[in-house]
Amino acid sequence: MRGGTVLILGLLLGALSATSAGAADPQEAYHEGNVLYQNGDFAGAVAAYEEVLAGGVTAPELEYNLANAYLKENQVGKAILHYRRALRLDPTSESARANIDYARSLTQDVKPEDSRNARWTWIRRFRLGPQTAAALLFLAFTGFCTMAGLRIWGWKRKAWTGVLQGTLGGLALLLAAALVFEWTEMEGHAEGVILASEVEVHAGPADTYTVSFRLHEGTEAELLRESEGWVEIRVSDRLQGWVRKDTLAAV
Amino acid sequence: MNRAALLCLMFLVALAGRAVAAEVTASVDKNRVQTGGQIVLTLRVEGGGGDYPNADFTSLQKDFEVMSAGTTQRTSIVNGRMTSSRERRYILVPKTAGQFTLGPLDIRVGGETHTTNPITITVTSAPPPPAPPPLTEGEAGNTTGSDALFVQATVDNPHPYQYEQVTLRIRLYTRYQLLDNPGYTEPTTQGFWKENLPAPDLRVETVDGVRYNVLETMLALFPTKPGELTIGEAVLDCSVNDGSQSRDAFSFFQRPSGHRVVLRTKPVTINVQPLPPPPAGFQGAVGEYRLQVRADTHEVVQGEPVTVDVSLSGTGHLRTVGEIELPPLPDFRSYPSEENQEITRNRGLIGGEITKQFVLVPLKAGKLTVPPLRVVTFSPSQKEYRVLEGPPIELEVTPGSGMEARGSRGDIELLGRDIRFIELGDPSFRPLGDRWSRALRWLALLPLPTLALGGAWFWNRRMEAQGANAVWIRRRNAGKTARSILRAAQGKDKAESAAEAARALRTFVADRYDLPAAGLTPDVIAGHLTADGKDAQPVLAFLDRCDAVRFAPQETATGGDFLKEAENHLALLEEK
Repeated sequence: MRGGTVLILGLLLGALSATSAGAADPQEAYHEGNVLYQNGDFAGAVAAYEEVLAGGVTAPELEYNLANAYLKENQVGKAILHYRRALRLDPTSESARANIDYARSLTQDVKPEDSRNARWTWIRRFRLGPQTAAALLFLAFTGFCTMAGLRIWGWKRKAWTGVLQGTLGGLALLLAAALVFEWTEMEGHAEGVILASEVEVHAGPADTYTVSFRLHEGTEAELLRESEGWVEIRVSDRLQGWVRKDTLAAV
Repeated sequence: MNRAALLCLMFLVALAGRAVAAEVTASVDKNRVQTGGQIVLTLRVEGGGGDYPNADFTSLQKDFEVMSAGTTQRTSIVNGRMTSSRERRYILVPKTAGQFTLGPLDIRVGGETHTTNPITITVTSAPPPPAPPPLTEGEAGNTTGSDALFVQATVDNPHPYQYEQVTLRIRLYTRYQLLDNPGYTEPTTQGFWKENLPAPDLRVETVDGVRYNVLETMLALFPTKPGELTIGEAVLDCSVNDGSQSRDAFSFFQRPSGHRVVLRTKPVTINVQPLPPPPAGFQGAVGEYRLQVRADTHEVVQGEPVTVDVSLSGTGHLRTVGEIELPPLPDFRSYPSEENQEITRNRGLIGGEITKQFVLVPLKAGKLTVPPLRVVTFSPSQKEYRVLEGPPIELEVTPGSGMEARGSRGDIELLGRDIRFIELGDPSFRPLGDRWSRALRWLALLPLPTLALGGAWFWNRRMEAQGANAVWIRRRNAGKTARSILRAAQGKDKAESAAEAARALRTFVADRYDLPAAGLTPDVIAGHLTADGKDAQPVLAFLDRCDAVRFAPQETATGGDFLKEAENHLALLEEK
């Protein structure tokens, strides 16, 4: 019994200690980028933020700030790319949502309505992000278990304990569903952003295929498959084709 | 006569002219003239080829100003004989008095040069300028020009105070017909603020029995510094018809050309008085003003706005008034509006009205008073400072909901659009591509409440099962009960300790084997201990010794620590 307690405590401590990541250098470069940004040196800020990314670490704040700096440098495509990455790390960021809306208004292409994408638009407003959803799930489930324990220990006769236990159980189920949604949103399909100023979208993975339409910097698309330096993209129900891989970047 | 007939007639005249030799004459309209007056010199050609005469006046320009005054052509038929003549006129204005001879002049007509007879002109000195029209009281100024055309510059107040209005009037008196609006060059007004005033209509005035047409322009000047200030000369460039131009049957072909007269006023100097030493609160308002202050209500709810309208109106330059401000109002929050100025120019006086609104929000309930608003002005007519004071505003403020008025509501105007600013806090970095580790850590904790719940359930079941067996509980607590007896016996003498040690052991055996504590015999003890696999003999021996010490005090010398020994026996009995 005593050995089991020690093991659980060890797991808990390990889980908590593992949340502190990162070294001193990324922080330093990140804050240097912030200072450069505040001084109006947006190109310098981009370089500083990119240096942090090159170190193999990221953070929603870093992606957001980098996107801001790119936008100030009039690189709309990269700005949208990094706003998307920031939102993927933290879907609750209001600032990233506001700024990506602004950046999208600067793109040349007006993206047509996509039925597949529109299906879940309403629920995306309530996204919590995987970490928050998981934490809330843990709390709701712990509450559910606590109420169950209290009822086992003799609180069964109090009706409200049953209501509370049911509510917490339902909430835990909803949060579990939210986590599944987060998983499908983040891992279910790949998305990318056009970085080249203008891209010809071909009917097949080679220049010899018919040019179906053209896209411009900043347009977002779903990445379907890849073939020898070409990527098949889907912009909307009707707009689908192949572009060179080096003309876009995956979110 | 229609135009075709006229052209035919002119053609015939031209043909006839070629047949007759040209005759050139020069004449003047008068041989005596005053300086500043003018003589009309007419060069006339009779016959010839239809060319107009031209002359070189270089020799005359020393004594005269020579200005062209137009040409005329005349045709006449007498007794069937047609003659024609052409005239060119010049206006000569003598520069000095004396006797002068015009010519003989060399006149060129159609390539031929003719010589005229000399003409003698006598120029007399001009009489003194006409008596200027009487100036009204307080006016100062000067008059220049001739008796038929002169200009007068006056100021209504030659000794104004600093910032007091001085009205400059430039009046043109003429007996001539003005052929055009005179060209007007304003005087220089260095040291003054200047405001234009509307010009009065053309009027007729009689000066010394002579009727003049009078044109007037006005300028309001405000001296900005004390001392002598000079208003420069104004220039009037007039084109007048003085009646010297002859008219004939065909004059309707000609536009009256008149002659040009340039008049200049003399500079006017005024002496500006400094303002007396100002009282506190004087910001520079010079003029005749009145102040009105009123509130839109006198009963208000705390936090609701009251609008106080302030109006300062009168004559004077509004620029001198300065900022209109309420006195400090600790019980109100004050929101002043922008000042609104409306300048008026009534009857030659610059003035107007300054209006300003203050929105006051009372910060507390009760009877509140807005102190009188004061504006200090200098009245040039009274030659003293005046303190204009509005009435105090009494307000009955009732307690409100605590919500304070925040001015008029309206949509927020979006002035510009840009992205939101960067995040400045310390981020928590994670490896690239790691999007789930933090969520997984939380998910890894999910078994904990499950395990805890299972443990609680199991424990509860166990406790429920155990709680239902009183024998089991007595048995479980046997050692605890016996030891509590031993602890209570600490510090007693040996006999008492032996008695308590025996009681602890017997209690233990009774609890352990669910026996009644009273009447527990050595045989019963031995039977249960043996049945439980324990060695009963040491326990019985110990109990005997305890009884011996208890009932035979002589044995107290031997026996050792009974309590400790009893503890040892308990430990042996508890062993499984």
